[in-house]
Order: sequence, then C-alpha cells, then structure tokens
Amino acid sequence: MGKIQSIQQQMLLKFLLFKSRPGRIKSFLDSKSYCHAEPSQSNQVRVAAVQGKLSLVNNPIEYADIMYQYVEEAVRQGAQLVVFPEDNAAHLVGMLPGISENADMSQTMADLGSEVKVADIFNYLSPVTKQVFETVFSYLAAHFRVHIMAGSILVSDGKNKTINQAYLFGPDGAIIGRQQKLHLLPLELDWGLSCGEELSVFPTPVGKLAFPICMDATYFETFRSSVLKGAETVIIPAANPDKYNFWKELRGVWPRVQESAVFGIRSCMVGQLLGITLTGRSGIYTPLELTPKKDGILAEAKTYDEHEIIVANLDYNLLRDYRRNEGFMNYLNIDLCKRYLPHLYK
Amino acid sequence: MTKRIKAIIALDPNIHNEKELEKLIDGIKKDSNKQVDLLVLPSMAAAGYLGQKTLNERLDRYSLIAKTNNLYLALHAYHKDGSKRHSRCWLVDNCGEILLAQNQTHDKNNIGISVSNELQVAKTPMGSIGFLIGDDVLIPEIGRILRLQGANLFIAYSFFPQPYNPWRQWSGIWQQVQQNQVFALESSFTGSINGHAVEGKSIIHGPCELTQGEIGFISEEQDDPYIAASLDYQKLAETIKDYPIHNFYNKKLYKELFSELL
Repeated sequence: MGKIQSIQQQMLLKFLLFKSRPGRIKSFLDSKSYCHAEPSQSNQVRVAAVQGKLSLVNNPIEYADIMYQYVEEAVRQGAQLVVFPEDNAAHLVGMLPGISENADMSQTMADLGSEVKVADIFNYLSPVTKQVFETVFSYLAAHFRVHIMAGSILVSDGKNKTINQAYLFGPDGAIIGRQQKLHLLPLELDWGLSCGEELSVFPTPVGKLAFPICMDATYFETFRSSVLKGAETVIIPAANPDKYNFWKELRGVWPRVQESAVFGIRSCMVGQLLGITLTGRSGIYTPLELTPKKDGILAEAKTYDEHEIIVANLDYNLLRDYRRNEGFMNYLNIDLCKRYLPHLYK
Repeated sequence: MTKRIKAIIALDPNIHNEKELEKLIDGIKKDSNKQVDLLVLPSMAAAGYLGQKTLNERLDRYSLIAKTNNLYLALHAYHKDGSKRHSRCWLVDNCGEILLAQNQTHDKNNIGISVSNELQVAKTPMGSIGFLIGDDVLIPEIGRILRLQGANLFIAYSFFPQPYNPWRQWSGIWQQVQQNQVFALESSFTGSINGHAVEGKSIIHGPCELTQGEIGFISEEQDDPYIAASLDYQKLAETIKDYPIHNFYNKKLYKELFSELL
C-alpha cells in the first residue's frame, strides 16, 4: 500500500471515529423518552426477539435511532430481556464511501483488489463499529433498565483476526459478557473470519443465559455444552444468507431445544447486505411438552423478510420441573458417549 | 460402494408367514421393475414372523429369503436372552450373512430393556449403515457417533406414543439426518408395543438440499404397502461438498463437553 493511501485510510478512520463519538450519540439519545422494564422478581421472565430489517446508514445517529425504536417497542410490550440478531452493526458499513445497499459484494471486492478480504473491511471499520455499538446499547440498557443481548458484530480481536462476537448488556449499562461465534459458515471462512473456542454461560436475574451465534445452532454439541454449564435459555442471534425455507430453518434452534431441554430464542436479521439477501423467522421455543399445541413454539414471527418483534414468557419453574423428569441427563448413556467422544472428531 | 441404491420400507406389520413376505417382495420387484437392493421390514419382524419357534430359526429363514432374493434385509425385534430383554436390529446381506446386530443404547422411557454401550457401522455396497433404535432416535450423540464412524445411511426403528405428533417425530430422525448429512430409512411402528399404544409414519429421509421442496423427506408413508426411494450417494457427496458441516467441528469445545462436562 502506498504512503498516501495509508494516510488517506487513517484520516478516514479518524473522521468516522469523530462522527461516531459517544458524546454525540448520547446527546441524541438524551432527547428521547424512556419507560422502564419491570425488574425480574420471579421465575417468570418476559423476553422479546427483535427481527431487525437491515438498512445501511451513513450516520451513527440513524443507527442509534433505529435501535432505540426497537428496544422501546420491546420494553413497551413488557420485555425484561431484549434480543437482537447477528451482524447487528452491519448497518454502519454504509458509513464507508461508495458502499450502498444494492452494491454487489463480488464487484465491491473486485474494485478493492484481490488481496482484500471482506474481513479486512470489517476489521478496518472495527473501532467505529465497536464504539457506536457499545455506546448505543449500553445507553439503551441503562435508560430502559433492561437486559439486552445486543446481537453480534464483526470486530477485530486485537490480534489481527476478525471475529463475530455477541454482547450482553445489563440494566446498569455494563457489559455482562461477550461470546464469540464457535462454528463458521463456509462463506465466513472465505471472508477471512476466525472463530472462538470457548462457550460461556452468564447467570443473570433474567435467567442463566448462553448466546452462541447462528451456525452454532447447527451443532447439538453447542446446546449440550450450554446446558451442562448451567444455561436455561440459549439465545441465537442469526443472519441467514439464504432464501427462506421452513424446513431448512427448522434444523437450527428448534431441534436443539428439544434435544437439550432448554428455552431457545432466535433473533433474525432480514434484508439486504451488499447484494446478499438475509431471511429468517425469529422464534421463541421450548420443549414440546411445555406448549399447549405440543409444537414447542411459544412465539414465532409471521414474516421472514420484515421487521417484527415477538414476545413470550419463559417460566423457569416449569422448565426445571420438566428437566427433573425428562432432562437428557436422566437417560443419556454416558458410558457410551465417552467411549466414542470426543476422540472420534477428527 | 454403489453410487445409487433402491431402498424400500415395508409397512404392513401383519406379514405373518413366509408366503406373504415373498408375495410382498415379488410385488415390490414388479412395481419397481428392477432389483431392490435393501428392504427394511417392519418392527417385530424377527420376533413373530414366519412361524418358527426360536429367534435363531427365524433369523435363518430371513437369511435364506435375503439370499434367494439377492437383497439386504433390516430387521428389528424385542427378544429375551436369558434374564435380559433386548431391543435389537439385524442387517442381513444378500448372501444371507448377518453383517450387523445392534442393540438399543438408551431406555429413556424405562421399558426395562438392557442397553448396549457399543455402536457399530457396517460398510456395505449399499452404504455404510448404522442403526438407531427406539429412544436412540432422539439422542443426537447416537447419530453423531455413527456419522463419525463413517455411516452415510441410518436405519431407524422408531416408536412414538399416541396420539401422533408430527413435531415429536421431526425432533428425531429428521433432525439427525440434517445435522449429519446422511440418508435414513425410518420404520415407525403403529400399534401396541410393550403395552403402550404407539403411532408414527415411516419415512425415507435425506438432507433438505437433496429433496423436492427442500423438506428433508424423500418418501413418506401413504396408503401403499411400502415406500421406496433411490438413494443417490453421488448427489449426497455433492451436497456435503457445498455445505460441509463436518469441516467446522469445534474440537476444543467438544473436548471440554465430553471430557469434562459430561
């Protein structure tokens, strides 16, 4: 890279960081009104999954306004935990000059040169994305006094790797925890992303929460690990780059919930990103036996390509009773599992 | 391995004698107008069919039928071995040899069967075959262990409590197929078993990407005496190549799961 080009890049980044300064975002959010989420006092928790429609923004204030409206709508419906999708700051890619919603990804990448990967773009924008995302959700969580699993963002891990990382904010605005994506899509590997190796569970007043990301729900091992580490709710932020198909979507969170006796929440990003169409129906799931229709569905979005917010109550006492009688640890043949696993994974 | 095989699941649980079974096989051959490679008989076949008194005698008769008709047979039965009660499957090859005998590995509903701690896969020209029996269909570790041992065709015998709930059945073999990218022949029993009323649909499964409408069902039980499908292993390999789930295992995470957490 030439010296001038390098200076241009640094100047642009400084400009974007200035445009995204926390004071400016907070000043905007200060002008809004806030209702407060009911504190969680019992074993009943009301949760909301935001099905967000992706639109690129060229100003962080626009992004803050969109997220404010989502959280406000969810809290007004009684949510004590609000859940967002994967890639929940991809909107900010629109701050880069020359990027538009309908831009073709392959053409954009070709224009940037063969040595540039998609991960490089997100890595470059990472300081801006992180600053805006953390400022917005910390502020919203504190002012609505609500728990927010804000979805995931693509950021640098500080070691020159780009990771997909989700965040949980508490009602005091502090970050309770972070979770890296544990299984990548082939597309993400092509993009140059790296995955994490550790799964965490966070005990909170709204439940013991794990929040692995999208593709992680394809693997039963993710939910087994979450539950054995104490999770009662597993949240999956998702952004599926495929046309919608009921059956293909069914092979994610829903069967994992049935196998591992846990609540599951899927929050989907829908819309267009750089020529890629994202679809999905957000849902809140439970073991079959805990639903009147015996279908395991507490709530599900009606559409797969529009913004929606769905809410449901999670009754942890019901889940614990169910697990006492039907949980997989009552019947799993552990001797058999240990005979073959983990050494068969090659 | 053959690239494409013709697999059949027989549905009539009331085949009580050899003549009826031969009639069924003849009917299948006529309908399909070509060689049938693999026939999955309804559950209980080895326990009560063909009139012979002992299990071994019955297995001998099935071996002869497999050899005579040049096909592979899958069988399931509950049977007693001394004081122990087993739920067991057999795979008989087209020479009449028993290639695989697999006991159920989980007894979730405490029906009092003796469970096995071993899972085997038989590598055959029909595919690499592993059995999932009864409650095993609901245990994701079973499908995974079979897949990691090379299985690309699951044969399942499932028993779901009445009233029939499709969601319950989809949470079994259908999802095991999707997360392991294999074919499956699921023979689901309807009737009374061990004093419990059970009801399910027999289904031939494949990864969504390989099926019409991407639904994951290749063929489903209707009013016919059997369901049939061609299983195309070449297409299965292409699907896996396009969407290689197994290349993305997180071994460190799983090591913690199976070495420390469990």
